Amino acid sequence: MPLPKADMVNVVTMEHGRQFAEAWFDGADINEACFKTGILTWNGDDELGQASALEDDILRRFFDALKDQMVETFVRVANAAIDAERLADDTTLIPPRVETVPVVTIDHAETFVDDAHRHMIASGGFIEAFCQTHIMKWPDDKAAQEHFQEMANEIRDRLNEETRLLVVDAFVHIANDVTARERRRRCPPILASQTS
Amino acid sequence: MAERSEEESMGSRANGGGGERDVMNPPRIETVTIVTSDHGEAFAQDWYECDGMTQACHDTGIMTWPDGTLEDHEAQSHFRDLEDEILFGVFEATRQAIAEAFVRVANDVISRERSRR
Repeated sequence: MPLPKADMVNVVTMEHGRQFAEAWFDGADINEACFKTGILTWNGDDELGQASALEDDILRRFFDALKDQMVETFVRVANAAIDAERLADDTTLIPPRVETVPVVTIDHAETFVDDAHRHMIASGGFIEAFCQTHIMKWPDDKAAQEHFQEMANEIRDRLNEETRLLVVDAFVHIANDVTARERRRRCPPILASQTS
Repeated sequence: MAERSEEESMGSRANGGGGERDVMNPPRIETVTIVTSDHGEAFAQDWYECDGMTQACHDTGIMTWPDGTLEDHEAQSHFRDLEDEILFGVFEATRQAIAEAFVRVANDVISRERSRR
């Protein structure tokens, strides 16, 4: 008695091919990508075994047919991309590229927070911002003025302590975004071709 | 009755006056009753606008200041734009938390001041 056969479509179309390619490039396992095309269907374990064997055969033939072409395409495309990067003419970039560190680290961010804190104290920027809130009235009495200053300093230092990690984190995240975009910036293709 | 010193007078006035009360040293600072989110947001805005922020960003060394030749004016302007973008991004990401922290800390310090005897 012959084994039951899995159901197969009459003909595999371009649409099946597109579905397979998209599923595969989207990260599906190659067998899963083949399954998603729906060219094979089955009922029960016997049919599953038969469908699996057929699927493996399709994929083996597919890979044999594509392997050399894939290797050749990869070599050509990857070399072209690397050459373009290597030969990019930064001298024509407008505005000129600003040099940046490869990665903005927590150390950079801590320098930022510490220096900002120091500059705000030295420049009087903090006390100016604080007084602008008008939450405390500047007294006439000298001793009270010293006390006012002590209270403001306490608020300043506790505020710095409480927000420090948050600012460090934001600085790392945002400065990395901005500097990475600057490093990736290239001449527009039209401008590049005009200058070559 | 001995005359009160000038300092004691000021302290007494700051304490609400009344010769029978103890002189507070240092005199109490007059404050708002409560620090609100409006105060916090105003502080955060002024904090961000301080000149020290730009200098602090510069001090990190994450970007190299272009040479000071005439041809580099565009690069210098671009450098400042990038710096401004970083500072604005940091401000946007932290302003709410800074305003809230200001409200919390300032209320704590001020309520302690009001309860001082």
